[in-house]
Amino acid sequence: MANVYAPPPGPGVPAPGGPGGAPPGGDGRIVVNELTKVFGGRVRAVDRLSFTVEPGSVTGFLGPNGAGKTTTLRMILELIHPTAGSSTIGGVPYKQLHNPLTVVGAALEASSFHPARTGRNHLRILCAAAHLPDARADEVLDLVGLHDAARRKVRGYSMGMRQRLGLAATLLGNPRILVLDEPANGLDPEGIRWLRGFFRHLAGEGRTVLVSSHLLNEVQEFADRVVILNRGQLVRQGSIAELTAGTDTVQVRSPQPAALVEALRQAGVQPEQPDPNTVRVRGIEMAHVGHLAFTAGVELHELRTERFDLEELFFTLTEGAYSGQTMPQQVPPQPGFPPQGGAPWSG
Amino acid sequence: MVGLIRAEFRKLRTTQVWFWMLLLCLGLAVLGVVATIASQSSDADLAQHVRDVMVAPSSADTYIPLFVLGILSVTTEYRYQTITPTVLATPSRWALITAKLIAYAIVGVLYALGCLALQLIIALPWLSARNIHVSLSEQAGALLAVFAVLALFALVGLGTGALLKNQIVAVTVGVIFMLAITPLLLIIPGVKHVYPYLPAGAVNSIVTDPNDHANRVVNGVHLIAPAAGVAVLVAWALVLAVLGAGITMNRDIS
Repeated sequence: MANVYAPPPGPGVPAPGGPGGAPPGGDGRIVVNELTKVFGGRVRAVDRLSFTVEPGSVTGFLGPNGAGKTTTLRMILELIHPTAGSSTIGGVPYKQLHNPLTVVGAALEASSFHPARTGRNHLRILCAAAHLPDARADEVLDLVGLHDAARRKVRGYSMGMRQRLGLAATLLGNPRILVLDEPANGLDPEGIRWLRGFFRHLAGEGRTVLVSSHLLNEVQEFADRVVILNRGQLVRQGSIAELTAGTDTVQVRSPQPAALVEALRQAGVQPEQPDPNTVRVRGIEMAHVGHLAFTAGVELHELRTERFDLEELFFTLTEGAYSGQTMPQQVPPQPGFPPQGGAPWSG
Repeated sequence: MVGLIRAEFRKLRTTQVWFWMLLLCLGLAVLGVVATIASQSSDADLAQHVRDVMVAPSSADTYIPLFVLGILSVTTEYRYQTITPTVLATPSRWALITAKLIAYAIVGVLYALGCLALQLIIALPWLSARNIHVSLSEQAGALLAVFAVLALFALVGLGTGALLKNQIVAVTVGVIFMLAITPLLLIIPGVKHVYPYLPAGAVNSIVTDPNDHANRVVNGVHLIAPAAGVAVLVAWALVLAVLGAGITMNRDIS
C-alpha cells in the first residue's frame, strides 16, 4: 500500500494571519482566567483554572482522561458555557471574533462528520460558511495527505483519516491559532510520526498551538510549554526546561552509607536515604559524587543518574487521578520531586 | 449571510436525504391525485371535485416529508455532531437559524413547485381525457393553498428540530402530534377550539375551499381564513425556531 501520509506541508503554505493588514485575533494569545465548570450542580469538571498560551508557542495541555481538558477547550471556544470565569483569544471572547475560522482552527473530536458526506464536501461547507474560496478545501486535504480519499464518504475513513480531516478543517482559514483536542487518538505509529512533523511545521510557521493530550510523550518533543491539569485544577504550567530543571537524581548504593552521607553533607548537599544502603542526592554531578566517595574511602556498589523525564513528572503530578484520593490544592515547588523511590516509568 | 445560506444548501445537497424526501413528496402528491380522481366513479362526480384534485397533495400529507426534512436540517447536526464545526464557524445561533430558515424557505418553495408541476402533469391530461376542462385561473386559489402548505412546512419542521434537537424525538413527537394528537384534541370539548391554530388545523384552514361553508366547520370548530392559516404556520415556524435558537441550541455542546 502506498504511503498514505504525505510529507509535512512545504513552504508553499501562506503565512498565518492572511495577507496584509493587522492579523485577526490580535496577538494570538489565549488567556484562561479562573474558568470553572460545574456539571449538573455537582461535578466540578474544571475548577478555577487559569493559564496563558503565549503567541507563537506550542503548548501541551496535559492531564489524565477526565481531567477536564476537553471541557476547558470547549469553554475557550464557547461551545460550553463556563459556570464562572472567562477566556479570551487575542483579547476577545471567541464569539466576538470576526469570522472565527480565520483566527482559530479547532479540532475537537474525530467524529464531527456526517458519515454519508465526503471529506471534501465537509470542508466545502465550512468554506462557504467562512467565506473562504472552495479551492481551499482541496489545498488543506493535500496538506494532510487526504487527497486520494477526498471524494470518499467519511463513513469509510479510518480513525486516523478522520483525525486528519479534522486537522485539515482547522487549517481552512489559515488561522494563527490552533486548538487541538487529542489529535493523536487513534493514530497508528506512522500517523503519530506524521503528526509530530506536522506540529513542528506549524510551530515553525509561528502559529500558536494549544494541543491536549493524555500522553505526555506525544507533545514532549515539540511543545515549548506544558499546562498540566488534574481533576479540573491546574497542577503546573511552564516551559519544559523549567519543569525539569535540577531534577536529575544521583543514586548511590553503598555498604557504608553513613560515611557517604557525611562526605556529601560536607560538600554542601543534602542527601536522602530511602533505605539503609541507598543514598540519593540531587543538584550534584554523578562524577562529583564518585569523587567524594573515593576520597572518603567509601565502597560503592552502584552509582547512577536517574534522568527525571517529563513523563515521570507528569505521572507524579497527576497521581491519584484514578484512586479517588484528593490532590493537594497546589503541588509544592521543586525541589521535592520526585517522591522517593522514583517511578517505575523512569529509566 | 449569503455564505451561511450557501453552506446550508451544501449540507443538504451533499447527503441523499434531500433526494429521498423529494421522491416521497412527489410520490405522495401523485398518490393523492390518483386516489382522488380514481375514487370518483362518474365524470359528472369528478367534475364536482376538481378542486379536491388540485389540493390532493395536501390531503395525502405530502407536507409530512417536508416537515421531516426541516427537522433533519437541525437534528442531523446534533446526531452526527457536525454542530461543533458549524458553531465554531458561526458562533451566533441567531445567524445560524436565520440562514437555515432562509435556505429551507427556498427549499420548501422548490419542493412545492416540483409537487405542483408533477400533480398538474398527471391531473390535467387525465381530467381532459374525462372531458373535464380545468381552468387554472379558477383553481389558482387551491393551487396557491397547496403551494403555501408545502412551502411552509419545512420551516415548521426546522423550528421543531431546533427546539427538540434529538432526531428521533423530534420526528416521532412532531409526526404523532400532527397526525394523531391533533385529531384527538379536536374531539375534546373546550380544547377543540385550539384546532385551527395547530399546524394540522392550519393546513385544513388553508386548503379547505373558502366557499365550502359546510366543510369549514370541523366537529363544531370553525376553521380560520386561509391567510390566517398561513400566518399560523409562519408563526409556528418562527416561534419554535426562536425558542430553539435562544434556548436549546444555546445549551452546552459537548
